[in-house]
Amino acid sequence: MSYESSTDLESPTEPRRGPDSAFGYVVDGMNGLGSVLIFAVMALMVCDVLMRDFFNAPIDGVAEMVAISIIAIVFLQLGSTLRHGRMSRADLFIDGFTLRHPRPGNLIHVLFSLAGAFVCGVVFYATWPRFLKAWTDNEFYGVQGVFTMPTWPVQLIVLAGCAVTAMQYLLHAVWHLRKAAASPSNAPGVVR
Amino acid sequence: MTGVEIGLLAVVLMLAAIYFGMHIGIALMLTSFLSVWLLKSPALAARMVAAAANDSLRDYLFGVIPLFVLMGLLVSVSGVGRDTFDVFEWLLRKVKGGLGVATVAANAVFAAITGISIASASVFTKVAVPEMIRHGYTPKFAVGVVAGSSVLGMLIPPSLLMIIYGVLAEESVGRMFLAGIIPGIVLALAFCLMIVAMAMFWPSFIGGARGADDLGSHETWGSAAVKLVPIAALILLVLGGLYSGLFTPTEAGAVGAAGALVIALVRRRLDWPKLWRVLVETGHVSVSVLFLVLAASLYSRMLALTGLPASITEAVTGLGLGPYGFLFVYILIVLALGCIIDSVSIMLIMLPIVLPIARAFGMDIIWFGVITVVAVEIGLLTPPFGISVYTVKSALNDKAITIKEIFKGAFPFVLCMLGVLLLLVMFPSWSTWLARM
Repeated sequence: MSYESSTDLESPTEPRRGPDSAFGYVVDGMNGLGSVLIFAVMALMVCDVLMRDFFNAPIDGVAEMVAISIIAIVFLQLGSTLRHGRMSRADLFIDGFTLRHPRPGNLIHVLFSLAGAFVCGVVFYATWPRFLKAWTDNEFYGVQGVFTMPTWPVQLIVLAGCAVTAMQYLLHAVWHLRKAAASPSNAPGVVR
Repeated sequence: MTGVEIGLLAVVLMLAAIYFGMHIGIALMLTSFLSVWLLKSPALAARMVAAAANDSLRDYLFGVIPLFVLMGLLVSVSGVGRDTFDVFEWLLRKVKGGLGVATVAANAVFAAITGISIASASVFTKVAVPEMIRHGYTPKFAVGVVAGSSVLGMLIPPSLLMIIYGVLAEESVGRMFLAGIIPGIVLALAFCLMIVAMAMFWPSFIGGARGADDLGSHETWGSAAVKLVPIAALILLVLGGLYSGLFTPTEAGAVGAAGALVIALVRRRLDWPKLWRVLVETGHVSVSVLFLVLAASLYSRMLALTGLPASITEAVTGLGLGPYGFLFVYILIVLALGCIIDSVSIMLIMLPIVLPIARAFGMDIIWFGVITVVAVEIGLLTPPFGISVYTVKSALNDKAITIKEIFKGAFPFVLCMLGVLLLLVMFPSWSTWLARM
């Protein structure tokens, strides 16, 4: 599974299947916001180019806004990227192994999912004091007098993105734990 | 434990975790966090994680990644890929193996408006493969050509891999783009020559080596020109605007995406659900790449703290390998990694370690980047993790053509790439000539 495993964009749209839980709506909702933000970044930059080159009136703070949007996009869509199996990994070993030995294979998945939840937890824990400081001290990006924007909303998005992604990792862990419990240590039917 | 030992242990553990299937970004962050904890203190480790998450991506330049991905996906749905192929098919109708050459040529032109090889692979699987099979080419060859020539997408600018290299090596992205042009064209020409040679001397591999002049198309010079207008306009807009200084690489991405959107809308290839899917897909592709970049920034800071890159540089230069010996070993490692992980991850893991070595040998960093990109791209075509091959397979949706057949069909292209790589290593000047102008 990798960032390049493309879905088929050409074929006609399937009937929409909604998410199956409240948490799914949160993940998809954040993902949707991220998608809108990507489009907005494109529109903003095109406007800036047009304004600058044709009317000699560039829009202030575009570079800062784009830079900040990139962080926001990543943390808005991280949970969904994980949920849809699009995080980069090498499936060379694990896929075949899980097929042949379902129980230990699923237990490895559990371990790796917990590692993912742990890393998201560390990012959350490390970002929290920054968020508090940004909130109380009114920190901002940009140059005063030209363009400024408070930093706390972005850090809030980072926190929310970490929380959702950690939750998604825990859901993966539970799912694989159930699979491991339900399966024999070796798959008798699968011979390679 | 000394810093270097911790660093070495971290790299080994990280590679093991990645091999066994841990998410690559998570493996990078986890081992880096633990090493800094061991080396300094948990508080510093947490601060570095916070800096990686909140600051490393806060750079205007990273806007290029989602924007060029969006442009590539919009161009894929707009149908200009098919038009380009139609024109080259008609132009090359009298040539032996002409459809194969047409696929390569159309891919090379398409590469100038897309920076990701999946865009090329999935478009031309649908357009070129059925056409070639209809004309009696072997399925193996038909899919092999598409997979093989899709690597041009990441060599000819704009290119995702060149962007990543530019960021890591602190070279201008515009220059890295320029450096990809000549090698990209040479590689495309090498592919064409090889196809024509195979059509003459090894027709059983190709199959329908006769010309395709029976294709019954009503193409004329006029209609062909009309079909090429949108793609030519887009190339002119993006690369012209970039190199005339009208806009920055990031803006080129935005303008290109907007241009592709207009083309797709004018041609009525886009409705709301489709646009939404393109946007969601853009998000997923770019977020997984950007998350890797974020994780790798923590990893490279950890490496710098351990002092590992410096001592490896010392060890390698002291070995008496010489620059060419080092390059040889480096390329072998990249090719081996290409069998396990994706191209962006290879660059993010390897470059913090090898760039100091390349600098110590006094190598041209732009040239080193071109070599890295070509070597990394060979991994797109080699089993078992050849991404382009799997993209072709999933776009094909035909059980009769197995993964193994596609790998076999793509193999001549791998050899061809190795040949061009050798040329690049032996004669450095031609690749960087444009970039150094």
